[in-house]
Amino acid sequence: MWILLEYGAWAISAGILLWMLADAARVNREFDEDTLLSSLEGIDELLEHGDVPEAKEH
Amino acid sequence: MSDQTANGNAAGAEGQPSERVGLLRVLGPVHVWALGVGIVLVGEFMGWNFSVGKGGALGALIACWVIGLLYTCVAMIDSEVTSTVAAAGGQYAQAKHIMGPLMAFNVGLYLVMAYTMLEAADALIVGDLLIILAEQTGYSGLDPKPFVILIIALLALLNYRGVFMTLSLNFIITAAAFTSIIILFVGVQPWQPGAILKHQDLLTDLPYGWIGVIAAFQFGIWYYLGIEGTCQAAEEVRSPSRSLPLGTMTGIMTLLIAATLTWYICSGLLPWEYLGQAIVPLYDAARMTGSTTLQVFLFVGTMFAATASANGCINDASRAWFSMGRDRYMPQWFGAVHPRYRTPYRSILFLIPIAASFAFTGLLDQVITFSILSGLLGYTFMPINMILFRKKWPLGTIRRGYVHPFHPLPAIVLMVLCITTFFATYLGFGTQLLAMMFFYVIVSLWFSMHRYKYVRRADQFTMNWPKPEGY
Amino acid sequence: MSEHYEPPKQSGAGQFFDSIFLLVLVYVALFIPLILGLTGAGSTNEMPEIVNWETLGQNATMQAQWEKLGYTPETAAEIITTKFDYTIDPLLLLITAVVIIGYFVFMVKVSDKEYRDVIREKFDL
Repeated sequence: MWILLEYGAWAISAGILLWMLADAARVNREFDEDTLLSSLEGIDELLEHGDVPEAKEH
Repeated sequence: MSDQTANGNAAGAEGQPSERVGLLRVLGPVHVWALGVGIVLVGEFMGWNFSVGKGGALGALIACWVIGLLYTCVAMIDSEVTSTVAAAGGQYAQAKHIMGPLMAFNVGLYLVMAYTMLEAADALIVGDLLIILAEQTGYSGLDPKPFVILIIALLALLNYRGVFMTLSLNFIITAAAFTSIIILFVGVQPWQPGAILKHQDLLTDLPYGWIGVIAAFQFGIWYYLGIEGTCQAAEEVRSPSRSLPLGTMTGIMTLLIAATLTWYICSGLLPWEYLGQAIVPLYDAARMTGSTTLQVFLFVGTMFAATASANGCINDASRAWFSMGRDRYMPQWFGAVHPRYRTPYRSILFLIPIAASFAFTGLLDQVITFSILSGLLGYTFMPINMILFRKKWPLGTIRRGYVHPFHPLPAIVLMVLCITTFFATYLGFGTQLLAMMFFYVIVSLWFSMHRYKYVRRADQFTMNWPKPEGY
Repeated sequence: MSEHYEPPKQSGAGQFFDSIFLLVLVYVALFIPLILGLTGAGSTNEMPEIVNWETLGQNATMQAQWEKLGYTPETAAEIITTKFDYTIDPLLLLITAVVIIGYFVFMVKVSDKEYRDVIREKFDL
């Protein structure tokens, strides 16, 4: 039984990893790189409305 | 946060996307507690007991409380800074705003190294437990590798698909693991000393004298290592200025209780020489009670604790790596957020093979020492950071979510304890200490001379604060 | 430096190379103590000539617990008699202290210099 579990674990791990890689690749294709990299740091409620200061400076 | 950011910057300059994709702000104090305690609790099931080997059972108890004081200072300081600098990356973002880029780069690396290496150790424990289980069901020679990979892959998948589920699960398994310690404590009938617990006959004098007690500090860290990881969630918590201090402070209280209970149970059941080198001490303690029920509880508890820890580590390491990528301290490619799940998916993926390689190179001892020492370097950074924080922005100049009492006492105490713990590590692990310092010195030079040129200067400072005093 | 600093854009290959470089460095740091054969704690071992629970200094309760764990005096002897060696080598201690303190001083200084640039660009330009 344990032998089966070992093979099962290999198979499931491989499946999960492949799914994540495939999903990542799909996202890379579907979305613009600038969109993916667009998150900004911080933004907390201490700044009232979560406005992002200085974000569009450059 | 999605709405806020999306609207906040719709009118970006050329080349800027019209809609921003950021991390999702969905967590509450319970998740913060689960993240902090979840990472650490495994330390009660294994690891802390090496402090017994270094200083004897009573020495380990002293270490447990003194290091508990160290971490109380850590939690206080961290609560104040992080309730104010609420950004993913936790201490990394703090260092960036308060001390400067090179420090921030080092702090970011401490975090990634400490957590990824701890994750590898956690996954190996799950493998070890399965070997024990297989042997008890009559199958020897189980190969733990597929299960270690499976646990890493499953948790990475969970992290990949969203932070809310990840930390909700962490809450459940962490609470269950904590309960298993309580159950064991009740099970050994602490109200009847001598019946099951035999402290009177098992406790000895300090085998190495007081220097052994100091040496024990090194592994006393295991009781609490990782509680400071709560800050990593700052960008995903609904109200960071309230939730982060609350989750962190209740977390450290939980751990102080769990650590003391663990010491009490184990030192009353196991001779210190055995305890000092045991692999799964709480499980051994459960075995010694002769109760199968307790044994099953502790088996599951250990398994859950290791899983929760690995899960939290993936969460924290990927946040730190992601933040460094976002600021271009590390390749920018890692700064991406998944548009649907709102997680730093590339960082999560990248760290999977690294964690696995740490687990399988047979370097576990080295990896664990490196992990602890990276944590320790991070704690040494905190008091310096705290003192500068209060100096550059005195109370009243910016809004703080939480102000810790008795400043600068906690910072000074923390600094003294860190120096003592460096000395404790030197006792017995001096070479590893030097090898690791060598690593951080080289990467610091590499950062200053090479990486930093890719970093936009003013953009690193994202908080809406006034100019620091003295600049 | 009265202008905003505009960083170069790093190529994909450069990003890849930098990630790998850092990883290699981690492994070097992990392997150095192994290669030098200096891992783990220094320890000493004083095995008594006749090995039994009494000579190993175990009282009746301790014996009972050891036996419950499945040990005999022979199998437990190694565990019981191995002791850490806490003798301090002043030279190595000094070197370690200098390296750690030097590292922090260097880092705080360089960070502050870079930080002043950041603050100037952020608030003064």
